[in-house]
Amino acid sequence: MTAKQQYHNRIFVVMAVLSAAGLLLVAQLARWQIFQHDEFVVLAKEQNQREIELKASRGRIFDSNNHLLAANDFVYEVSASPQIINDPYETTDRLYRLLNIPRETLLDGLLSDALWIPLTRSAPREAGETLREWDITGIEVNPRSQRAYPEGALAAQLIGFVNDNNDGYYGLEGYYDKVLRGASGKQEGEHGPFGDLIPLGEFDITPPKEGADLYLTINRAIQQAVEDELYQAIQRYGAESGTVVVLEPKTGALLASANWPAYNPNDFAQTDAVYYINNTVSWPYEPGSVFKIVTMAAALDSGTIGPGTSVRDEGVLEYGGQSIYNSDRQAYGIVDMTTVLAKSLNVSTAQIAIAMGAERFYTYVRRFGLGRLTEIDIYGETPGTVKIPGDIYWYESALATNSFGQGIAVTPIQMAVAVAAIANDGLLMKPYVAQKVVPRGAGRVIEVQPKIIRRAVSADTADVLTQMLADALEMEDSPALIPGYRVAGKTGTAEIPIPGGYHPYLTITSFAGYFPVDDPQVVILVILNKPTVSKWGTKTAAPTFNRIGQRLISLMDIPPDAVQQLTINNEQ
Amino acid sequence: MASQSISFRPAKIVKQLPWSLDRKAALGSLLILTTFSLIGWLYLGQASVITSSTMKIDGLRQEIDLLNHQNSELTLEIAELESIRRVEARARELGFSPTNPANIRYLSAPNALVSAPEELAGSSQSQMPESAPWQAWLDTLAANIVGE
Repeated sequence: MTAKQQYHNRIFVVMAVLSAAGLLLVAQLARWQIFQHDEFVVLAKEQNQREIELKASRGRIFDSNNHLLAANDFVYEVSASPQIINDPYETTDRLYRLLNIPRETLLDGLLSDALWIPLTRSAPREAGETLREWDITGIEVNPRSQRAYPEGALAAQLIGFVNDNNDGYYGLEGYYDKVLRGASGKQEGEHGPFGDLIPLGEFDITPPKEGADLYLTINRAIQQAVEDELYQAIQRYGAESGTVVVLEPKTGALLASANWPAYNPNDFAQTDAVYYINNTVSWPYEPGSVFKIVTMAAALDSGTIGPGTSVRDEGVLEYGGQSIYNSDRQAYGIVDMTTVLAKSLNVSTAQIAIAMGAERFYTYVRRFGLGRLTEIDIYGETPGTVKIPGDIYWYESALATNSFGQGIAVTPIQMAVAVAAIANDGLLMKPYVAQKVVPRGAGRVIEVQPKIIRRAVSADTADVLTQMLADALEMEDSPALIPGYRVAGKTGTAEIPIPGGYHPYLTITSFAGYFPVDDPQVVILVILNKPTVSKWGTKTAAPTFNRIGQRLISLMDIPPDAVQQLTINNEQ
Repeated sequence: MASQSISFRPAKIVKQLPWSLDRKAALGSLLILTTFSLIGWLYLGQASVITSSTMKIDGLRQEIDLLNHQNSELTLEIAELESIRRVEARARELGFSPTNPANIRYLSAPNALVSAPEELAGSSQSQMPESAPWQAWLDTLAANIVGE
């Protein structure tokens, strides 16, 4: 073989090898680009396509005068990636005071092998902005929305709270969570290695839908006055807890709902969960003699009695195997219906219920919405317990005991709504708290209209009973009476059920009333749980009603009866 | 047939290349090169504008977010300063006291007589102090001002 041939052979071999290599490259490129195209597209997208959640701002809550009750504040979440922090010691010295974290704890974290550690979820604005300015490698700072309640503990159980994950709990925050939270948007697209959007890449932004604002029927001045009076009553009478409900009888609008003990929703995490519960809608209690309003309304409306009817009260009544006594164990002889209410006679009331019959009695109890949800727009409503004939735990004696509010459990809102029906000419209204839902951005404003649930009793019955209740209070010179205003109402003193019977001396005292009787503007239900100074509603709840009533007269500009009468006469 | 030797040495290859191009081909090449350069320049220019605009929009968006945050904070601060407890405490500091229904006076038309609720209700247990003459004069004046 000549040198030339050898040379040509070498060239051939080199060309062949290069061609084979080229073919291999082409084949591999064809595999990647054509056959595995979709697979690699997905892989690439996984690496550079990111979806960032654009969080919606939670809707605010306002009172009936547009005062802010719940809004959004901003705090900063701070986290660290210890592996990429240049100088953990220097970083610790710069951060520990700013973030209010013990130096040793922070240093341990920054020296750890962890890839990522959270430092705080709620750094204040100043700290967050300072950290952003410092721009320390390995320290990530992100703003986060946090719910804030500028009125502090005011109407705490009514409003509820929002946790760190933007979930509403209890009260209105819980009930209207979906409306308030809105819907998150998203930013999809190609992002660089540091998470920033690549300007020329493909991206798609779906803006968040902001949560709607809520406007309440609650007036913060009334709420504050009611809470003040409730707190003072609890101190004055040594009660364990208490609840006050204020309703507008003509519409069913809740004007105030106070519970004590209360808590500050800004610090909900520091509070025992038992205080989150809104007793107004969640606490079934035995109403005691306040319930006689319902019994008397049922008896009048069914024609069992009239305002002039009299009964013989012998101080004790045996019925269904149980002895019924008056609270003072006295016999009152022949008494009219107003006296039955004034003296709060259990025996006479039981006689009336027995004369009415169980079927009619419980039909009216149902008509007043007792034993079922009022469907008020507050989280956690319970229906109470009303046993009716046919239920396994209903006994014949229940008709007698239920008639004066024992052996039956209702929630404060149910009782207030039932009394409001009498104040509203017999019409039972659906109670409500949110009067307006206002979307931010596009959308329709939803205004809540008062809703009649049903007629509980006739207007005549309601009018007659109102006069009887007012007369009864005046007959006894009740401490609930307000000078210049005619008040209708009823006290209640309920024994507290314990295993095997009732507590020997602790009671739940209450007063439900409304005024002015000619044109009722407010229904107030006061409940004091286990007062120790006196166990009677007349001595505890009735004076509290009076004080709250006087505050409301000023706040709501309710003119006295005489002025109202003068106005009516002038208009005529 | 004359034998022709082919050399693969680089120096020979360079020499063997047809370096002499005609004018049309050169002009065409130049035109193509210019066109592509122009397109590339336009593309890069546009990309640069889009990138800077996008970054500017991103900056503005962040500024909007920051302003929204600050607005929320200010709204909240105002609400806290206007909170009912704070207002009440401040009002008490300034010497105001809660209204009592007994202190509310209603003006009755047409003679602008001033009556306390108890007086209007005919209550014999009025807790209202007797009006001083100057108070009555002031009330009458007030009634006249409101056109009664």
